[in-house]
Amino acid sequence: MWEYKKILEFPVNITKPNLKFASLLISAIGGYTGELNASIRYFMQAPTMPDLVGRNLLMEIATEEMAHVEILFAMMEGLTKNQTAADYQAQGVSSMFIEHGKGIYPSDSFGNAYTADYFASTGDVLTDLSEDMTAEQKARAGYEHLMSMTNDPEILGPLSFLREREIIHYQRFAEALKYYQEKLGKEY
Amino acid sequence: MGVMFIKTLNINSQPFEFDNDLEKGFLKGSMWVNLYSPFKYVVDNIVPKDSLDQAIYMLQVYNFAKIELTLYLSTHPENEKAFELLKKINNERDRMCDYIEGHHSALSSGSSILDGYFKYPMPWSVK
Repeated sequence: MWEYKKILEFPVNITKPNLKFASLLISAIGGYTGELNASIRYFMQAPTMPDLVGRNLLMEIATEEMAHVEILFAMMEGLTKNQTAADYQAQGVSSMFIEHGKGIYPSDSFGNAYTADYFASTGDVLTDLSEDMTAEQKARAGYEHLMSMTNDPEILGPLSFLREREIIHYQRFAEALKYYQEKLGKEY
Repeated sequence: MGVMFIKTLNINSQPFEFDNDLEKGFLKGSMWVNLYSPFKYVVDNIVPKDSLDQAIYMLQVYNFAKIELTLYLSTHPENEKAFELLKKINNERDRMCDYIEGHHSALSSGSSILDGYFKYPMPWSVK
């Protein structure tokens, strides 16, 4: 089980609303590279890992990814704070307001809803860990794309933290894959 | 036709090179000197607004070190250095959590102090 603690993993302090960027950032929550997808993927794959190396690692990273969703909530709140329907219209993101008001809906930046079709859970440890490594690289690239869209340090700070986490997770998944390759005597 | 084995990856286990400057590692998003690879922007510092903010920040730093060591130990369960360091970090983390809960508000509904928890804002709310 989990016990909720009211602290963010990394501080967020966004003082300037930016609805256009909010409409892009939603992808980091609900897109195929997003944190929700990452968390659900690892959570679903964890029970069929062959031993505690994979089970421990996937549960811990699934948990951290949920903390990343929370960081993105804080960013979304700062980017949309005190904004009206007219502000959404003026910034060219009316659709976001029409569909969801100020609500956070997990989708990509086109508005495509989050779907579990974004990941696989095969019960095959080598396949799942290879997918997890790919997922971390996709997420790193996703953050770089988002970071390329702004020069605001209040936005870039948390995004740089989230991006670096993908690099660390990639390394850990790679180590787990190597461990199972050696254990199973398979290299494919 | 036999099975074709394709060697696709040459994976190195990461040596234990933990950044002793916890705050620096936290700001980078990596406690590992050899895994840090910045892109476009580097967070130099974060200046807390008040004493509560400062305490939360310190808790975040210890919490992050705990996450990093836990992930490392998941794939290096025999590393005693990492294990002993995690114990120390968890101690500091508990201490900082107790300080905040004693001086400001409980952060979890499981806290024995509990005071303030239900009125304490969610961590994502903007002041």
